[in-house]
Amino acid sequence: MSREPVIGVQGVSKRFRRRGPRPATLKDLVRHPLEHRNRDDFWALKDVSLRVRAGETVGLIGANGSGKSTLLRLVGGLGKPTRGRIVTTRPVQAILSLGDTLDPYLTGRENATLIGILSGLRRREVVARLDEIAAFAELESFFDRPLRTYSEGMQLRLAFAAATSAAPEVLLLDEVMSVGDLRFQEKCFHRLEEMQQGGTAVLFASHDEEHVRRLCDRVVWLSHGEVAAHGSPDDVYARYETGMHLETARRSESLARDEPEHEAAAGEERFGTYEVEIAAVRIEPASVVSGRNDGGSLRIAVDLAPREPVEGPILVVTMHHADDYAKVLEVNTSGDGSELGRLDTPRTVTLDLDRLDVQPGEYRLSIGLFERDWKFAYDYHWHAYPVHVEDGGAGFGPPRRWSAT
Amino acid sequence: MSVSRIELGSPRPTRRRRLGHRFDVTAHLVRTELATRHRGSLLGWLWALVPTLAQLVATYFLFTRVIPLDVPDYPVFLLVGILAWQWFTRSLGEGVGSLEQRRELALRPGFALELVPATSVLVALVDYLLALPVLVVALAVTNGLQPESVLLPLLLAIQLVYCVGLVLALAPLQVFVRDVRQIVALLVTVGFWITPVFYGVRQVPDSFVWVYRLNPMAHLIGAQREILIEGTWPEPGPLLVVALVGLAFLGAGWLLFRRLRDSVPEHL
Repeated sequence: MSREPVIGVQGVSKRFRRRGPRPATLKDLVRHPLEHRNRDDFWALKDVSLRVRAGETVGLIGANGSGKSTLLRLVGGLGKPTRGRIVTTRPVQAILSLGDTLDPYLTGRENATLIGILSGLRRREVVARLDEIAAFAELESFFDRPLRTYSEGMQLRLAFAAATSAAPEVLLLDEVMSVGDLRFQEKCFHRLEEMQQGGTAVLFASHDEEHVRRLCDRVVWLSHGEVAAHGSPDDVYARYETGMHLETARRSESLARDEPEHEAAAGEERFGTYEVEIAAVRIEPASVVSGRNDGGSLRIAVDLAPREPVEGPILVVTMHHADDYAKVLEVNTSGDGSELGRLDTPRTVTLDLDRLDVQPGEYRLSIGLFERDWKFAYDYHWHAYPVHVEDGGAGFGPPRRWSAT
Repeated sequence: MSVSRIELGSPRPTRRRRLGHRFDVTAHLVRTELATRHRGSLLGWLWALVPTLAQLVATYFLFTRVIPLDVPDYPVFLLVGILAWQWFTRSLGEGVGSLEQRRELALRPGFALELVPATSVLVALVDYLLALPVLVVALAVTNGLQPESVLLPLLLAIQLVYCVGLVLALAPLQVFVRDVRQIVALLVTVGFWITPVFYGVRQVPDSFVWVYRLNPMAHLIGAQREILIEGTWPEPGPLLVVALVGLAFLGAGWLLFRRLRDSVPEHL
């Protein structure tokens, strides 16, 4: 399977001009000629970059109006970015909304044909697939009745079956997986997973965490048109939930302030509610040598400074490759059975990794303190602490023993 | 995971395949448009014909009994004019608002948007072609079919070029400024009177003939009457100019359409 990038979004910004009820009439132009200059610009997307490779599925999450649909439309070629560039190297298909293209006065068969043709198939190719479409949508006995006799669920089934009958190489999906009943949803997922395995690149916008976690390899969180987080579903949802929690807390004013007291390490990305802060992190040694007999040990000491008492927080340490964010290690206190208990005074938690056993290279540690049920982060220093692993000459240094008989 | 029944990717979009696909899309849009328009009505596609015939009868009565114009072969003379003019007005009437009408197509990624206004012109052309047998019969029973009639497809092609050029320019403009439709409707209404539809350029006083020379539809309707009724070849010079101007219209319409196309989705 080729893993070439098929969607490239590079520094894309999109400005919409917000100017009263949009469609201008000549009268408006004559009566308010100046409004043209005083208009109120609105940036729907700000400097968004992402890349989707063949066979990869990237999820777009974020509140309503955060720019998910705008991004999908731009990738689909509907409109041009105000700044930046969008490159797609394969024909793009999109299911941005089901049912819109359906005509109530045409039969199911005619509608399926129309959707199939609009999805890029020649007419004869669609006709050859009609039986399969009817079977997938489970509408065989209704296929030649006008669409207005269909229930909404039946219409959606027809639209999904017809739109996906030709597995596209690039698919844009906007919040359409809530099709029909649960059993049919499962069928749709199955079809999407088949496509993924066949190498279809999917860009999928959704509010449904379960759907996103199931389909997506990576997730991009858009907030007010900007990329707020980008990474594995676990990473991004952790930050997303924290962001949501923070917003709720801010609204209810239960948190007097949410700025950290302790200075953050240089260049780190940090988020959290700061009810407990990660005040300092010490890593020893600064440079690990791999291939040594001890495998290269590492000690990480984390100073925790609670602003108010919290119960049973979880400390997480993650190690990624510095360049491509590939995860090499993820451990947490709860998973290892080292409960931290109640935290009301400053404490230092130390993690000793006896054997690192990783390839030489540059790594980054992310260190986070989470709420006891992983609902949000008190403080999360993402991709913040560099670890340099030197080549000791022997590659790895696995635990070993020589013997001669 | 079971072996997939769906194959990845439609065949590579070669140029030939793209053209063929556009043809399929256009044909399907025209077909469904025609199919839905008259489905469930008693007369069906005859409704494409009835208004034309009603207008024909009323106009015929007006200009033979009330204000006699004294045009020879007036029924066929009138029919030729009305059919050509109706194709023109229906093209514009449907085409200008077509992008708003088929909003869902304009919001489909990868859709060749120019096919939407073009479809309006083609649907109106089908109406014209449905009425053509009536014209042929009328010509046959009045003064016989002229051999020069073979030129008709060329005249229709020139008119097609004008119609497509105009709707390509006007349909996206209508999305931005919603007055365009009304302005076009007004111009078409005025156009009916200053185009020789129910009269001929011969009835026009010499001092105003220059106005008619600037009107492509006057040339096209006049040429149709020459080949279908009088059995004479039209002057090639003016017709060539009309055809070239038509191509310029089409080119300008296409350029304007391409310029505006990217902004259409966000204004719908």
